[in-house]
Amino acid sequence: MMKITLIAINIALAIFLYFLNTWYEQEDIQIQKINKKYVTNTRKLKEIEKIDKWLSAKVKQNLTIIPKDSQNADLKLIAFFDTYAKKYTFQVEKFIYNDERAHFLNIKYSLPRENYKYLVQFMQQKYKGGYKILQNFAVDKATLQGELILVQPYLTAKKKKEAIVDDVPK
Amino acid sequence: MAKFYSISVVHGYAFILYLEQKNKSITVLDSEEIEYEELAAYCKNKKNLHVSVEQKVEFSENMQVPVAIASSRNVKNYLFYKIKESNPNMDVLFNFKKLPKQNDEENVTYTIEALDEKAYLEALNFVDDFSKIKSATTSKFSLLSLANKCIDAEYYICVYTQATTVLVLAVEQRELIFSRATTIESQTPETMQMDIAENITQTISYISNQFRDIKFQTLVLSGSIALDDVIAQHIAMFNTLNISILYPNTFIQNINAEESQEHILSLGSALVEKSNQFLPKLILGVKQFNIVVAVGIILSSIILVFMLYLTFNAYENYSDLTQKNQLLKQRYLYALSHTKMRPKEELKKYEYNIYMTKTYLKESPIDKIIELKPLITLVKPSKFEYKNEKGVISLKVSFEKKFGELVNLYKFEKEFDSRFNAIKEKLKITKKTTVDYKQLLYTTEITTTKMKLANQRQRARRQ
Repeated sequence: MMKITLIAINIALAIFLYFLNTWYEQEDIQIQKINKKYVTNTRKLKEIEKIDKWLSAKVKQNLTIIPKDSQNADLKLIAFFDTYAKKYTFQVEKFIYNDERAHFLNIKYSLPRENYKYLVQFMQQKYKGGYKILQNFAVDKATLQGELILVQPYLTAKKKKEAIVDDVPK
Repeated sequence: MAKFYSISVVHGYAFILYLEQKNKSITVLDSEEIEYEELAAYCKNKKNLHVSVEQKVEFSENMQVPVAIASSRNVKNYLFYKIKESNPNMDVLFNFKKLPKQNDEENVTYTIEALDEKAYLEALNFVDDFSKIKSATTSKFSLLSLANKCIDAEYYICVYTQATTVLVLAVEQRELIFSRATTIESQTPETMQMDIAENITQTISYISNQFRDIKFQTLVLSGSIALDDVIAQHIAMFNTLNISILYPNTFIQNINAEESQEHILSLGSALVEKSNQFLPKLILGVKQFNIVVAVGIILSSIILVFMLYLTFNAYENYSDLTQKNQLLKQRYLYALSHTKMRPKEELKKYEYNIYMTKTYLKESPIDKIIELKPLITLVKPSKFEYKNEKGVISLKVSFEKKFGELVNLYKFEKEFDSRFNAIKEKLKITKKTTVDYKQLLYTTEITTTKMKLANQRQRARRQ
């Protein structure tokens, strides 16, 4: 009887161990999946952190306040033109036009070359709330002249609805 | 080496030997003689029992089996059927042997030794667990086994007496051909010896008459008769056979002559051949069951150990993975807590800004001026033209310098070319130089064109 009990206990223990073994194997698969997820997510978080640092260092300071409506956008461009028209001898080359993301104003400029500080001032002149693009730039012995484009960011209603985050550089 | 108990039950007494077998010699470790009633208690904690018991219902017979029945199993079944025919109310346990001399061509003669299984099992009842029984037989086969071991003669008669029990065997070529067990009931103790002697003499005469063609050579005496000169002398008077004493001391150590005669059947029990053993199905079943149980224990233990090994390995893997999981979780939580999550709206603003910057601020004349710095620091440009017309960027820079000495012109030219060569690959620029050696005037024009618009179109198609 003792021997049969011993066999029964052995078999019962073996069956228990078999199920325990199976359970361990299933748990291993689950844990491996979770671990893989942790690794992927940690990597993603590190990438996000890297991008965030880059955004804070390089992009945040250049963020612009987008005007409330289209007219405000136009008026900002006009205000810049009027402010510096005499100083840099501005002439409207192409009046305000727009695409889905911005309003533009093309301006011709001309200034004497001999005053170096004056030249530097012009080059460093910023258009607050937008971008100043030197489209053409020509220096001869006497003058600096060319064409610049003022870009005033303004999204159309359609564009505002779109959520675009895929273009964030990695 | 193997130690075992050899027990013979004779006339209400049990003769017990505790033996040890080393190679071919047997050593008596202990001997005992107890009453049958005490035997069950004695055997309770003993193992490896070789047992012989007396049987009242025990018979031998010659039986013929048709030649057509060849296999041992079929012969056994046939014999069993025949025995049951003549003994329908008895559970028969039997052994059978083919006779060495066969006279009939159509039949094979077998000698069977049969006994009543129920009575036999009852006689073995003193053993609490039949699995302890290594061998079991009846008294006559114990005696035969020992006699065959000690006597060289081919034909002999063996007599064993113990108290009032007389057992006579006739042996032909080591096979039992006749046996008779008698219990002598004398009127008085004084006539007992004579009655025993008379009984033996009569039995020998009967054997001689029955087996006339066999010339028995020796009369072997054993048991109490071997120690009793009166009976031996009386028997010798009426027989012409050589009388000898069964004397097993030669191969059984640590037992004297007198003791050995008392334990003749016990010694025989230890030596009984398998063909002379009677092991009922019950005992065989118990033995087989024990073997199965032992195999079961071994197999289940192996399986258990194997499963333990597998489970331990699985646990180790699980433990390692759990530790790794904790570590990765901590790393993840640390990264999560140290990563600033910005709302989607804010990210949209960033994205918009990046797009605008990429689109409108990618090309600037300042960048070109910086790239041309090595040349500009050498000589100021006399003319600088930068054009961005619908994505096509063109650059034209003119340099002009007049020298007082030719050597300076020469050195300047070499330096300018050197600096130009260092940046021309990167900027993809070409130069057109004119040197007026009469005027010592150095004039050069650098131009570059980059097809930006084409690249933008390709990118648009990919998106």
